[in-house]
Amino acid sequence: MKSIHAASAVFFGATLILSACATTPPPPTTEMTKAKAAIEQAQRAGAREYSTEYLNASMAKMELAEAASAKGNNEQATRLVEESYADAHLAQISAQSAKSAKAAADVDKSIMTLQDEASRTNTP
Amino acid sequence: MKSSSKRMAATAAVAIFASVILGACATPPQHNDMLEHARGVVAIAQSNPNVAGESRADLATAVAALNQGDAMIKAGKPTADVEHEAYIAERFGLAAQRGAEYSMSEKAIADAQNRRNAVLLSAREQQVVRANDRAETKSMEADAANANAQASAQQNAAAQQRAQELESALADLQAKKTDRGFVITLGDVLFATGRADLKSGARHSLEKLSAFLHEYPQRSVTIEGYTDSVGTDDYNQGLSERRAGSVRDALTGMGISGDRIQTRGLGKSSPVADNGSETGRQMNRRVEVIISETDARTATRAP
Repeated sequence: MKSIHAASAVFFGATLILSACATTPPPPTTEMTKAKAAIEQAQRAGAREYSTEYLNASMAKMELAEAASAKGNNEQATRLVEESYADAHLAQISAQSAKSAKAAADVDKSIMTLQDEASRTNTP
Repeated sequence: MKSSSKRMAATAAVAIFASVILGACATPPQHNDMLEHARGVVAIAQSNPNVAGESRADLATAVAALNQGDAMIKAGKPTADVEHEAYIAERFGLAAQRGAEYSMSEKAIADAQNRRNAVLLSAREQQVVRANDRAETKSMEADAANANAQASAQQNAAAQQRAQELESALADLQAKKTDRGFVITLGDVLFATGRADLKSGARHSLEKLSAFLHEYPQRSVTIEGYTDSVGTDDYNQGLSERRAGSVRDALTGMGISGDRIQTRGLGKSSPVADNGSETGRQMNRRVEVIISETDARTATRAP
C-alpha cells in the first residue's frame, strides 16, 4: 500500500514533466494557408522589387516550416509559419510604402515643375 | 519506522522531480537582446502619430507579442520561445512604421490635385497683380506723355508766337533776309548830300529799330556805311564811316548800349546798283544795318 503511494507520486511527477515541457501541438495547417496567402499578397504588392529581403526571409521560413512539419515537429513548424507570416506581411506593407513614396516623390517633382513654369511665365 | 522511512523516500522523489521540472524549463536570464531590440522598434511605432487604421492593428499585434515575450521571460520559458515572440513583435512593429509612411505618401498623392490647384491659383493671382501693375505703369506713362506733349505744344506755340512776333517786327523794319542775316537798308534820302548827319525823317526808321533792339536785347547790330563811286576813295571811306557812326550815335541816344553796335565804313565797295546812273548811285549811297542772329556777331560782308 505504501509502495503504491510512492509509485503514484513518481507517476504524478512524470506527468508534470510532460505537461510542462513536452507540448505536442497540432500541425499548423491553418497558419500555413494564411502565411502562403500573405506571401502571394506581398508578391502582388511588388515585394519582389521593393522588399526582396523580407519576402525571401518569409519564403525561407515557409520551407523550413514545411520541413519541420514533415518531420512531425509541429511546435517548430508553428513558430516558423508564424514568423513567415510576419515577414510576408512586412514585405507587403514595405512594398506598398516604397511604391507610394516613389509616386509621391514624382508628384512633388511635377508640382515643383509646375511652380517653376508658373514663376517663369510671371517674370517679366 | 520502516513505513516512515518509505514515506520520506517518496517525498524525496517528488522533490527531485520538482527540481527536475524547474531545471528543465527555467532559463535564468531576465534579459533578451532580441526582445529589447523589438521593444525599441515598437516604441518608435508607438511614438509615430501617423500610425492609424491597419497599422494600429499591426502595432497592437506587436505590443501583444512583446508582452508575451516579457511574460515568458518572467515565467522562465525557453529562449527560443521568447525570441519567437521578439521576432513577431519586431516584424509587426516595423510593419506599423511602414504602414504609417504608406498612409502619409498616399495622403500626399491624394492632395496633389489641391496642391496643383494652389500653385495655379497663386500664379493666376500674380498674373493679375502684374497686369494691374503694368496697367498702372502704362497709365502713368500715358499721363506723363500727355503732360509732356501739352508742355511741348505750349512751348511750340510760344516759340511759334515769338517767331511770328519777330517776323512781324522785322517786317515792320523792312528788314530783308540775306545770307548775312536780316538787313535794313537806310537809304541816301536819310542823309543830306555829302553829309553824315541824319535828316529828321530818319528818326522814325531808327526809333523802330531801337524799339526792336529793346524788345530783343540779345541781338546786336552791325552798321555799315556805303557810298557811290563819285569822289576819292579816302573821301568816300571817311563819309561812309561817319554816316555809320551817325546811325550808331542815334541808336545809343535812344538807349541802346554801344556794346551791341559795331560800325564800319566800306566806301564805294559793294555797290548794289550801277554807278553809271543817278538812280543807281542813289541806291549805292546807303547805310545797311545788319541784325545779328541771337547773340552772334553779325557776319561781315566780304570785301
